[in-house]
Amino acid sequence: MTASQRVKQTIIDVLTEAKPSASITVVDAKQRATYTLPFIAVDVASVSSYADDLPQVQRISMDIVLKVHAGDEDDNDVENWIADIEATLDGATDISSLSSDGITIYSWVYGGSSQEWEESVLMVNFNVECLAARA
Amino acid sequence: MSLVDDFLTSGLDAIDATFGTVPMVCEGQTFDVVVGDSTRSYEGAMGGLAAPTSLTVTAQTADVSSHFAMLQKRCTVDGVAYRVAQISADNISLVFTLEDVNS
Repeated sequence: MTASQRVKQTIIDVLTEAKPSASITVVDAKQRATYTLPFIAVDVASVSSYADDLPQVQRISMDIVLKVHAGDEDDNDVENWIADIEATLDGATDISSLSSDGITIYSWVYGGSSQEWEESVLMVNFNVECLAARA
Repeated sequence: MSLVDDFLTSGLDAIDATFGTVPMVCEGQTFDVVVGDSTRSYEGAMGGLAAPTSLTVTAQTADVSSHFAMLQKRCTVDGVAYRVAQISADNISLVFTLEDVNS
């Protein structure tokens, strides 16, 4: 498993533990399965070397997307879910301390969220970036 | 109901008997529908595979109350889960266009 995949799995584990509602499933965005809304999809957006002389350290940008359907959820519930997820992702110290299982996370920076509609589905995009390396 | 409505309703009764009906459940109501065209496919999407599905079913207006409240809600047709994407209504019939619950 690559360093970025290990980071992705770490975030899936963190969000699964801290998800704001039992109805939400936290999934690997690239997994070959079908899921029912609402869910949080975690994906690796990009990976690059942090520095030429530190090739083992990678700058990993993560896409974390909450998808909910307008027909299912109350507006206030969704707002509360977004706040809870932001609080979890903004816990940079907590997340960066989760170095284990072959991965060292040096830093974790939460970069805010944006929202967009895809027909009747609201997608809330949470952007985060971390520095990590295989332990 | 006019005589024309009565005539058309008798036609729907004949269609129900000929094509057969299955139960649709939505917003706490259960009613019979005749299943029309259906499509299903697969595509990759954020969060895994998506299964775009479309199914058209027809119910009798007299069997359903507050039908427009069913828009965007989840439902089942013969036990299979869908979401109500569109409703076309007249005095005697309701045509539901159903899609995958993630649509």
